[in-house]
Amino acid sequence: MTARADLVSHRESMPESRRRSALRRKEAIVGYLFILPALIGLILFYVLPTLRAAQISMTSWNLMRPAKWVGFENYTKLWADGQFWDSMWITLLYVMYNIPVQTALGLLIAVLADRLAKSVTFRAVIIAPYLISNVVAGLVWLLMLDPLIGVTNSFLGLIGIGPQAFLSSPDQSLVSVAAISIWRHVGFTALLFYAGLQSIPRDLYEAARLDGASEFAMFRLITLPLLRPVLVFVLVTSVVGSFQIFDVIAVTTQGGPADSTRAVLWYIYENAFKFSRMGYASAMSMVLFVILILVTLLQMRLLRGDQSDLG
Amino acid sequence: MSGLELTDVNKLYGDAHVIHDVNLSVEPGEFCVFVGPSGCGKSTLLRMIAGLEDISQGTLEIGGREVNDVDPSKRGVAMVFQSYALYPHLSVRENLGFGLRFDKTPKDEIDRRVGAAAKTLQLDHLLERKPKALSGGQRQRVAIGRAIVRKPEVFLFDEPLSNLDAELRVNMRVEIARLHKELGATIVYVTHDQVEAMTLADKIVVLRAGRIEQVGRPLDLYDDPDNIFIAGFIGSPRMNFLPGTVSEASGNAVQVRLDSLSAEPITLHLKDALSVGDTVTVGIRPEHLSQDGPAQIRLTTDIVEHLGGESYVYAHDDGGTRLVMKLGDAREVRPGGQQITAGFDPARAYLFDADGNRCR
Ligand SMILES: Nc1ncnc2c1ncn2[C@@H]1O[C@H](COP(=O)(O)OP(=O)(O)OP(=O)(O)O)[C@@H](O)[C@H]1O
Ligand SMILES: [Mg+2]
Repeated sequence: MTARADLVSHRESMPESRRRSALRRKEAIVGYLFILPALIGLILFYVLPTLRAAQISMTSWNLMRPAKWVGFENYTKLWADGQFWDSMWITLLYVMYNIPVQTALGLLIAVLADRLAKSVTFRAVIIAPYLISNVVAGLVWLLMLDPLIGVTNSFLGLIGIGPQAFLSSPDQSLVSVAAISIWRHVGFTALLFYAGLQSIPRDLYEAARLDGASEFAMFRLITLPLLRPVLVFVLVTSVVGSFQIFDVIAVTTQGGPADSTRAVLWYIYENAFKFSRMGYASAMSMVLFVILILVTLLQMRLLRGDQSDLG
Repeated sequence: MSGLELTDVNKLYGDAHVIHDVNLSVEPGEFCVFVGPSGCGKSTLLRMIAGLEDISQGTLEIGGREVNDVDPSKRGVAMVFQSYALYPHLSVRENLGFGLRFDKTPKDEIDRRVGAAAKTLQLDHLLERKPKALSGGQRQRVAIGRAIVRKPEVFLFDEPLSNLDAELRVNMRVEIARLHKELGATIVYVTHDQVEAMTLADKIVVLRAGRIEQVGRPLDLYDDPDNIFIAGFIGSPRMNFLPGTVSEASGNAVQVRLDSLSAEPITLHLKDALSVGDTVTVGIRPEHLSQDGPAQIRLTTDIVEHLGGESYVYAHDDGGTRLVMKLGDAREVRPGGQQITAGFDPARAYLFDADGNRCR
């Protein structure tokens, strides 16, 4: 008798429930195999570095001399560091400029595209900025927003608006960074919403139309509630993403002018790589990490993101 | 309560001409059923009445008023969709009242009408549930209830029962018939189930490829079909068709020789003139075939279906033409190769010319 035949006959002799649980276990193994590559990546590039950062955050380490264990000293220092909390506040402001506009604009574009123009070209155009890296987008806009040689001021001149300082003014710099980021991400956001809209059955709108609902009423009473799971996904990913604004700032303002764009990731970067305070930078990263987890949980909870009415 | 009047109605999607010159009137309070094979344009026609599709040419009147350019919500129609189109995030109560919130119906009036509809449809105990937590039949009733609360002049149904299992379908069919009696409303109902059509309709409209083939009361279509398509479409199991040739024509009597070698020529009495040599088709309903009768065909059995009270015998003749006989009792008939004789009365046979038109 071959091993395989043996296995089969053995399985057949098992009681029904045990056979089923064996089957389920086998399915689970296959499932884990499928997510294994992603899991390895996650562990290697996210979990391990996070654990290492947690460890480093308990040390004083300047990259030259060996790290020295200091316990929670970095955290107590951080608690009293006004500049850290300033950078947190700037980040929060940035998120508040960024998210509402990006989400609302993305939703508007998606709904318009869905109701009016189901054109592939249109979708290709709105997604295009997303294919550019943040650094390139930042550089391009740095040039375009240049107060002296940038085209933006020339255009504004045409419609009678005087030259603006944009990135070089402390009052406008953060808004400008947010605008660049919105420009780059809004198409992708719109595309996510657009995909979500496709899962809402058409006949709901037809039924509402027969009932005399206006376009706006349909949006408010059908589209928005049924889009909630997508909305939560978009909000969570974009809020977490924009808390980590870095590359656009790195190529445009470098935290300035007058620290007006010193977002928390830029401040962490400065500490780590300019002032060689690895331990302190890691402690700040850990705090940001915890804050982001809390923000995400809160959003999921408030928006019931794990439940869909469809399907 | 109002009727409908369609005059020379056409529908074109770009180059695709899907509805051709439809002329139809539906009386107030009438139950009108559109039937036809898949893709014949039933839904399109219904959606044009609802206002969900433009009318490319022709006019549509509801209650004597031309509504071609009237907004769907102002036509006095309510529609029940095949998919039910219930709002998944709203409770049954909210679903039922949804249509009333847009025409400024007062809150207590909405409550009253929702309550009444829920009572009629036995949905009282389900009002707080979401559609997800309802059975197919309950969802169907909510969909109908949503139409009722709006008190429309005309109800439009697009294959409302096709997602239900056989038993529920029969129940809902009776329910809809009862509702029609109670409300006395005009109903336009699309189906491709001809039992639904036969049992529910005051008037059946048979469509084929975007054209009306015949309009009439159910039994009129059954007894007196205009052409071979209607004859084959209405009635289940479908009518048997036997190819033949006119062998003699004198006055109003024609003699037809069936292609089947075993059959004697049959004589039919017609008003229409046919000439010798014309190819024709003879149609006989399964229930008009018996084991004896004036005209006879020899058959070989294939399959016998016993339904208890009646039986269907599937057989073929010498020429290979397949026939179905409906017999009261076929316990003696063996499937698979038994020789039997099918007899019929030529007076009950239908004759169709080479184009499929009926010769009367
Ligand atoms: N948007 C469209 N563009 C082009 N042709 C269409 C469009 N919608 C429907 N048609 C065509 O119109 C014809 C009628 O379609 P319709 O949906 O009315 O058929 P139906 O009788 O309801 O069929 P079924 O029983 O399968 O529901 C079909 O041939 C279909 O391909
Ligand atoms: Mg249809």
